[in-house]
Amino acid sequence: MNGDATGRKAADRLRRRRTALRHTVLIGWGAIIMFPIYWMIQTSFKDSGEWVTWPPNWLPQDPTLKNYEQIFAFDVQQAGVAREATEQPFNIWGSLVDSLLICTISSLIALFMGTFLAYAISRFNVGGSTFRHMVLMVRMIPPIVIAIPLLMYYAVMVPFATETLLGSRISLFDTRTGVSALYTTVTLPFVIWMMLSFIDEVPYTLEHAARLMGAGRIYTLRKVVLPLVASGMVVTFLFVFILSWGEFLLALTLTHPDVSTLPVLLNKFQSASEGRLYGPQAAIGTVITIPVVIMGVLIQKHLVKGFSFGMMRR
Amino acid sequence: MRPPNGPFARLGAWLSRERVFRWIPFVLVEGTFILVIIIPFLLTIYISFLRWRANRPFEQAYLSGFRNYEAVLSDTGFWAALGRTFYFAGFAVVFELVIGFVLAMLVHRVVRGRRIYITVFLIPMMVVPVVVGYNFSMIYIDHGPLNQLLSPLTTLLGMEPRIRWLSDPLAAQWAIILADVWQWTSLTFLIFLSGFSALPPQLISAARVMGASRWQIFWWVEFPLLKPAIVIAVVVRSMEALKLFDPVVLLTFGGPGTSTQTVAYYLWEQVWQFNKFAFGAAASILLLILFSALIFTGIWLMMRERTRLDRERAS
Amino acid sequence: MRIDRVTARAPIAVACAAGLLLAAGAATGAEYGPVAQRAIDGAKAYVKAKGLKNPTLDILLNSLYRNSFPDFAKEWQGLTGVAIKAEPLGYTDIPSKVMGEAVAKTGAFDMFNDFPYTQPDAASAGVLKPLDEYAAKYKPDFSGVPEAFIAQQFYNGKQYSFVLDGDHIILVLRKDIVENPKAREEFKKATGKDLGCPANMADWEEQAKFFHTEAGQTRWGVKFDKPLYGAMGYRSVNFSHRHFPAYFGGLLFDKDMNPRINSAQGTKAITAFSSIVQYMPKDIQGWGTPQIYPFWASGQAYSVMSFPSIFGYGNANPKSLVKQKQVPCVIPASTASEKPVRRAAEAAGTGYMVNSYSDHPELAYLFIQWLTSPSVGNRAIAHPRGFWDPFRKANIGHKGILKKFGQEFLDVTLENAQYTTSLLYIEGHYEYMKILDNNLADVMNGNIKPEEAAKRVEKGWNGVTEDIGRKEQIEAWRKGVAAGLYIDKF
Repeated sequence: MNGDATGRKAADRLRRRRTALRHTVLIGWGAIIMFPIYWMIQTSFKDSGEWVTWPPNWLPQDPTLKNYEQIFAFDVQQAGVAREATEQPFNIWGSLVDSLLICTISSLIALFMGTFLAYAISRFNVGGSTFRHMVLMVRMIPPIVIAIPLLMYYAVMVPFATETLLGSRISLFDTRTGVSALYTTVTLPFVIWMMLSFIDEVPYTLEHAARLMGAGRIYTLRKVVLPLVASGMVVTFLFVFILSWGEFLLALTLTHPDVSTLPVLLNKFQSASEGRLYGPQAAIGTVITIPVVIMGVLIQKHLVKGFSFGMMRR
Repeated sequence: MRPPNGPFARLGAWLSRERVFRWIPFVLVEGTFILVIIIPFLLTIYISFLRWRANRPFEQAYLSGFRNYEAVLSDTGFWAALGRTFYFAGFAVVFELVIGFVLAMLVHRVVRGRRIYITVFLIPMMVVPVVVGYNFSMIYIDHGPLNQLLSPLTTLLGMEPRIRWLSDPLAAQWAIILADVWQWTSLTFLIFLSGFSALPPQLISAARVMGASRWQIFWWVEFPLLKPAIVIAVVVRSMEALKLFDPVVLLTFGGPGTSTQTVAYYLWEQVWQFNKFAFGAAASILLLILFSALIFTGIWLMMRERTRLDRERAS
Repeated sequence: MRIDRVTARAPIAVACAAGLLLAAGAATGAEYGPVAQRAIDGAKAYVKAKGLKNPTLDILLNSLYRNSFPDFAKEWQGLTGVAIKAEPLGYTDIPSKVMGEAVAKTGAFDMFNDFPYTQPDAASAGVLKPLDEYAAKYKPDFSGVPEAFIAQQFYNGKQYSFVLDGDHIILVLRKDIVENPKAREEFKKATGKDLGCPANMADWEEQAKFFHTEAGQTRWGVKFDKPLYGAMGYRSVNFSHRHFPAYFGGLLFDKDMNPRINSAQGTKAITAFSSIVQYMPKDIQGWGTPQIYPFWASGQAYSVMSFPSIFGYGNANPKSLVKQKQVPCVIPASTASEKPVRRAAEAAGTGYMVNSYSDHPELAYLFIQWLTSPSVGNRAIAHPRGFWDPFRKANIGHKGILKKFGQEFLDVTLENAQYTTSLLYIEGHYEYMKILDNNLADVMNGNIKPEEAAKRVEKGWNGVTEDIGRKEQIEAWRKGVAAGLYIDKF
């Protein structure tokens, strides 16, 4: 019995050691992940003199909320948070609203259309067997170059077409509609691709049974299929939302001055070789990261379950 | 009750017919594609055949055959940028895959603290790329925190402790690769973690009962089942890594010299700095063809793998 | 390119006082010169004639000016009722927004604020409104402005912009070292020369070499805990070309647009440009203004070649260790050209242009004439949070400017303005200069020899010329040279 006990003890020790090693590696990576985030957050609480120092200050020596007050104040002069008498407001509110509206609406529409198309492809093989891969082509068009034709299209061709056809000039340039439509389109391929893999997983027999019992098509879809792929939809939504939330180049070309998304706003205060307002930038960076991270944490369970792209069937 | 009448009701009835209904989403999506992106894309193709720099009015542009394509293909800068793109994307994707895989494997086996690990590891992919860019620009300052952190290591190795992250050609290239790895390992981690969670537990416990060692189980049972996940991670990541742009423009502006110019940056520079719109259009068409070929090869591999798995299971 | 001076935490009270002064100025209206007054009257008449209600003009503004420009916008609104809405954007994105507008023709902006060298491309693309008609009507005043600055407002014989910024590069030395008797003595012994502003690039490099000091050494009775670098200058991509003309000292092309760089002069210039880098901080190739300015203020360099505003930064930054320890110098002469000539490139001064798709180009013009007029322009240059630099004779007597820059610096910068040359002021500027930058970087990294770089630049430049059209380029180039853009003539 003694030998058995020592054996078990040795195995225990081995397991404990292995667990400890595992945690060490994971915590190490966690530290790497958190380091830039930490640097951003602590910079956002630093006042101008402390942004760049040699050697760097690892914690703000004189913590301040100024950066946040500054980016959120409607009128920096009135709020008394201006660094200078001539300081202009950053006015993050406008961009925050623009970004939230554009990204939410475009992602929802893309999710809606993409899911239904994925369903049609999966069940009826709409568009032929290669269509599901051909949609990815849309995603591969380099945005840098499509930006110019898009600009001509939005600002010149669409107004011209609407004027001749409808009699009133409608321009998509510098409008939320224009950007939303574009984001919907460029994220659709991912939605279709991801949702296809989820819907492919749902056994057809379930639907079949429901239909036999007299349920309508829409009803079946809503009550049988969609609940089964709900976590997949959540994941897909988050994924395309993140893509749109961070998109910069197309937004820069197609908006301004009326509409401006957060990445574009951020770029107003940042350039590779210009004086940088590190503090307010870090504050904006923190603020625009928070909503997405919260969303990610809330749906974490779905995330892990849903991101398998349907590769593990059965 | 009378059967529904009127044009709308009839339209509704027609739409709900099985044969028509299944095409509704297809028409909607294709309509969106055509309206929003196919028209501008056709315009791109047209522009790619024009003799046009934006420093002249568009109205003065004229057709010039394949001149732009020839110019792109004979431009050494284009090929160098393309090579660099594969170098960056190659290293970045490999690191992301390996690290993501190891992390997913470890987290999958961890019981305590699992949720926290997942939460933390997923943060980077939710940070806006522009924010990542300037975050790293703060960190990479040569007197900055990263070099301070690394200084014990660099002094131990007898290296210059002030690594010129953004001004030494080689260091700058790796600065960009590391920033990309930092951000996108979270995505590969997520894909692999999903893969691990979807592994059939019966199969593994069966193997264990049959006396297979941990390593054997991993190599002969788990790994083959994860292959599709690997291909998916490769496809999804390669697609975006080949377009690598934000960190380049935010960290180095393609410099020093041209040492960090990726093909996306090259395109941006040709188009938006040098105003060579038609040249850029031609280059982008060529890139689209090349990248599509690569990605579709990847997808084809994935499909083959999946059918093979299906066949094995069936037999 | 000047650093955002938010870091300089000037007492808010001072700035407030300045604001009050401005407001008072607006109220009395006593200080408007005839040029500004013509613009004010013209704008009032224009608004009245067109019956405009709450007219607003949009300007795409270089974000460096976001702290100072709005004061003048407000003043203008008070005078004429025309509101100016500023849309600040990073300067790297402005040219692409302008060229995008050439295609989109939206009229979203009435004015653009950018470097003059965006102008040839933009003007040829038709997005800039020629201003000659308005200028004939409202008569702006360019008296006392150096020839190159006047020429920069024109392209191919038409006026497209107004310049209000003398941003030509200068050299600044450390006064405490230059005036250190021991250092002077040792320097004299070592080189046989008196220490002072270097006459040419070779002299500067000699000084840089002499004063380059490792950490831990004690020289001239001073102990150096940190190293002292002999020199600093801009060597990063997108900046190298702004300094290169000072080393080259001559026209970059001959009269048929053949590059002159693949020559003894070009090789010498490239060699001088890259040789002094050994006395600069090691990572200088990755540095822009955000690194160079604070580093200079930290007192770890003997000399710096930069934009004029570095002098103000060194004196005003609260953490600066070089306060009152700076000697401004006129740009050293080139040692590559046949005769030693001083050439200070107008590296980053900004101008104001009118969008040809604007609804009210004339009104936009009037605002620009008002802002850049001698009387208002003087106040802009004197603005405590402004980034405009002195450039014209009228700046000399102005009290505010004198207070901001100091007599010594003002004298030097206005002398330097006489040596101001433009960068390349033809279509394709960005592409030509990028080719130069890339090859200079290759030389500095030791990848290629100066001769090889000169050859590659020549080939690259010819390629650009052919692509844009040699005939048109030759015409624009000759016109520019004749107008005095580059001081040198064929």
